Amino acid sequence: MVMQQSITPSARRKRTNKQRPESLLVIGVGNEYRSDDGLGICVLRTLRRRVNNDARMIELSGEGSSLMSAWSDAEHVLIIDAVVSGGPAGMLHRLDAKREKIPKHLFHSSSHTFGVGDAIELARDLDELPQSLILYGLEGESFEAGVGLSESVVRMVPDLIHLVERDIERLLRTESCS
Amino acid sequence: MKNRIIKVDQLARVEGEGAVFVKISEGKVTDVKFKIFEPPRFFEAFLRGRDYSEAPDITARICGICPVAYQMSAVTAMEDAFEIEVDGQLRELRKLLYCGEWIESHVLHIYLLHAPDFLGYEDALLLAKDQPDLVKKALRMKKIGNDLMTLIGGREIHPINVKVGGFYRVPTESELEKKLDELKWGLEGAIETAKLVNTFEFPDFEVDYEFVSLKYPHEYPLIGGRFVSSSGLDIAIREYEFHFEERHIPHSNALHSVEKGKGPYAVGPLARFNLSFDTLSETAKQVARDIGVAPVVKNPFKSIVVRAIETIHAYQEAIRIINQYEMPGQPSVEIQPQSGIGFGASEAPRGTLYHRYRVNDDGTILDAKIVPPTAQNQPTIENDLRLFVSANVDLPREKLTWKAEQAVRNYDPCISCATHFVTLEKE
Repeated sequence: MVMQQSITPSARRKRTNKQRPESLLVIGVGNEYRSDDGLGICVLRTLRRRVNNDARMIELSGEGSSLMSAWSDAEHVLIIDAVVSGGPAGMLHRLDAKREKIPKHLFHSSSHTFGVGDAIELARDLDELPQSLILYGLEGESFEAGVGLSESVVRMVPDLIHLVERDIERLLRTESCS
Repeated sequence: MKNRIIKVDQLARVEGEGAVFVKISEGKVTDVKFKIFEPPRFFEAFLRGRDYSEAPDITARICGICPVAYQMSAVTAMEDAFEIEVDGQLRELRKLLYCGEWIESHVLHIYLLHAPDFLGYEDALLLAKDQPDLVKKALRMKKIGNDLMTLIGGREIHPINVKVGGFYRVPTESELEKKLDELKWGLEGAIETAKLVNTFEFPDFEVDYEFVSLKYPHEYPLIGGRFVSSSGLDIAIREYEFHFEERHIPHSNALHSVEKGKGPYAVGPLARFNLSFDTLSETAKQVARDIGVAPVVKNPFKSIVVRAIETIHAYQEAIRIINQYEMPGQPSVEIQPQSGIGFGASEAPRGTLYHRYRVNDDGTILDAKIVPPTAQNQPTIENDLRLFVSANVDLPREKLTWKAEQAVRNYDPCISCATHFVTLEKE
């Protein structure tokens, strides 16, 4: 188990264009006291340090209706969570929720049964999805009570952060031109 | 009669994951296991050596649904150890924060987790396809609770504004008054909810429970008070472990709580309602009378109605607190750590949550004990399953399995609290 991943600065970009704070929301989902379930929280805290822009960043447990409430005033939403799909630990996922349905048990690692996937599909049915919603996941290895991410997850965290930062830049660039 | 095994490996729509195992031989229930899986009591161990001030924030992480319950039991236990009392507007603010948690947790359970059982839907997603306006209303009602938690707690999940002695920052009168319109809308919604869920069809099933809850003079139980029971127990919170104990059960990694000399007992909405009906808000009492729900409610399936009545109470209590609010001069009272043992308890949405801490004279935690509501209800849930399945063995397998799951959901079990984490077992 590793407490902190080391991330070399590769895409530390500052943004000065003023955005409405509601327009882009980044949500880290999970519980830092349950090993790899803490992924979303860990990544979000790292992004907060690295990305200086107007994207709003919040931590949530993954309870579905709270997620829906959180994104209700956002146009673009990025969600980061640990994943259990049976794939190899550290496997990276990026899903465009506007284009594809979320597999029912993919985001099962939160301890809540009305979870991330449920919230997205419920919002789709109620026509309450934001303009765009991207879901990032890393396949977790251990969800036991404890602090720190597994080695196999930590290894992939820089790639995940790069992916999220690329989308943040793209979305803010699009917003500032529109 | 055939031999049957009802097995639900992964229990849907409860907080966390659990498993139900019921064995039927020759038409009789011969074995019942409501399995929950507990690794070493991580959080209790994790707290050792930490500063007293960290207890509310660390224990809040045990559950995403009832962080305020963990914080309130933790801070009142520490304040007990340091012999200080937090009252007046600071206590009212704590209750207001807790009302937010009751609203969001109860509404979530009523509409998104429990109502689908009664309405014949597999889950809330299917309910939403048929009745989108009902689900939208539920989400708005729940959001009012979340918003209260965000305003007072600093954020809605794992609030960060709570500390031993009070808060880091208290809201202004005008910040709270802005919430009144939505709370009044929510109150009406809760009244309609109670009337709606009371029309559901309930199995003819009653159990003579030993109910246990906190009781407070002139207040519906929420923070502190005394432990009382339907058989006449009336003890201080610090006496809890003289009367209740946790036992290791081979099939479950969680500890089973029992009342010494008596056995299983039930905590939660039914216990509070039956033991403290008179202190519900006036509207909650009136609606209960109007729909014909009065103590003693012994049908666990009717917990959904009682939860709705408690939701009315929570909205009305929130409105009362805001109307009477005067911003305190100081956000917290001063703390002087001292060595000792502190005991705290509060009423989480799903039942009583007990904390005990031993601290040294600089406020370092030497040991901690946490007894969550679901651990206390676990033997009662198994009893319900045994009785309910025994009385319904002739139902088709699929229907009986669903009903067994529903019997567990009656308790809104927060299995992740009771187990601190759960893994899925497949046989």
